[in-house]
Amino acid sequence: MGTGTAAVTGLTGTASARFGDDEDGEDDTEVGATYTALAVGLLEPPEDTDGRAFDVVLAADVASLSDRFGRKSAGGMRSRSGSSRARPARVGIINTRGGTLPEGMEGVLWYVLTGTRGGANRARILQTIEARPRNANQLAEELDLDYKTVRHHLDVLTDNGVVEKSGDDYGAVYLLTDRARHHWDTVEEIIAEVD
Amino acid sequence: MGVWLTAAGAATAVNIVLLVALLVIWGRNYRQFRSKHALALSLFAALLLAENALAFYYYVLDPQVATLLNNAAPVAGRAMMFVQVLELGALVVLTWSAFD
Repeated sequence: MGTGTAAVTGLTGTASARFGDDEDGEDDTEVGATYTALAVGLLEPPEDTDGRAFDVVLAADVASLSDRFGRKSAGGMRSRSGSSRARPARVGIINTRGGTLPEGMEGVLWYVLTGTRGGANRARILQTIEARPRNANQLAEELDLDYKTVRHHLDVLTDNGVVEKSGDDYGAVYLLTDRARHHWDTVEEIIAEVD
Repeated sequence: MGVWLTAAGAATAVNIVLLVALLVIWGRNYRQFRSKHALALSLFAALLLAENALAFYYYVLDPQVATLLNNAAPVAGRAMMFVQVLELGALVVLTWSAFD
């Protein structure tokens, strides 16, 4: 357990330093719960942090930890803090937290997929993106939809934090956000009915 | 009373149109997704539609009842009519978001 202990200590140290910088105050209780679970017995749950900031902190820490333990970076998922640091192992760690991301996401998914007119096509878009990130053109072609329709759906999904663009240039691919990935079983449950 | 009744009647008529549109969207989604969420939305639209249909009957088709109630309790009658206008505001926003 030598490395395990070192990992948790490193995580706690960096994370607590970053929490002080954060100004937003959303979702604090859930983040607190996560934090405790990850760094059991080492630190009090932070009181005023926001879920997004915590994700970044976590990711940055995981990145530095894998560097420290010589693991290879698994690729550059985007980072919300603007740092270009790759986020290896991010998915693995975050997924093991279980139920600690903002609960609102589930409602957003239900609404954006089954509460609006374009729900069925949005579900198809999500399914396609989940298999492999694509740009609007590829999606239009693959799903046999109008380019403008796809753009509109992607805008709605982006506004609701379900997908995100990787990069700003023309033709940038869209991928699922952490939150959408975390609640993917909900999406699957919804999609299962359409197929 | 005249202006109030006209406003409430008009609001109720628009409410009915919006609710039918919402019911179509949500009902279709329910058939497609069978989700609890779409069912709840459909049910909500259906029940509010019933309420507005009744209000439409009172305010527009048979204003006698509305006038009678309003004379008996003017403040309450006006408040009820105002509710119809509030519903219109809420439904406009809801429809706008559902047509996304």
